[in-house]
Amino acid sequence: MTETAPALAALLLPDDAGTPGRLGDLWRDRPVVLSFLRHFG
Amino acid sequence: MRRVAAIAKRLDEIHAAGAEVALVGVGTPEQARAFRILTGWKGPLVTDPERRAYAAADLRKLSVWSLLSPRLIRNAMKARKEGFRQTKTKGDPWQLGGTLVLSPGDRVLLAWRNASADDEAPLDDVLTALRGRAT
Repeated sequence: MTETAPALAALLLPDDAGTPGRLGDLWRDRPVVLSFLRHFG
Repeated sequence: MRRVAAIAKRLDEIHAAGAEVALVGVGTPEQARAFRILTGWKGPLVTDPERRAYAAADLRKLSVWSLLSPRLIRNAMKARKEGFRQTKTKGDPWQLGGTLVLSPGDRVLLAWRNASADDEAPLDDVLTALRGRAT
């Protein structure tokens, strides 16, 4: 569990505009609820 | 889509607790854009075509047998009655979702790995985790 957040934080993933961003930026300044969907649609 | 609608209903409470909600989906940015239009989601939306985040979060895969679960069939019928129609799957149909609540400093406040296709973290638990965090 302690390794989960840093591993996630380091990932570089695109948003829906195709712009890559570091996932950890989402919770750098405030908490985030990261909701993993089964699929789009 | 049902999950997004459920989150949208509680979004004001989540924001009031000082948090944002970001959706992560398996697929391309194009598929994510279509999903945003379909659901009206206004918040952050991340795509993970190679499921690297799903692997890092240790999220489960659906088993063939779980598709035959009477509860899953009942819930699928209920969702259909509520107007949530499953369209052609975009992404990996075997991938299960989950919910992680993360805070600055890479603290995990809640980790819920869905056990089946109709399993989701209760949003009351999400709000409890957010409200109970040490500042």
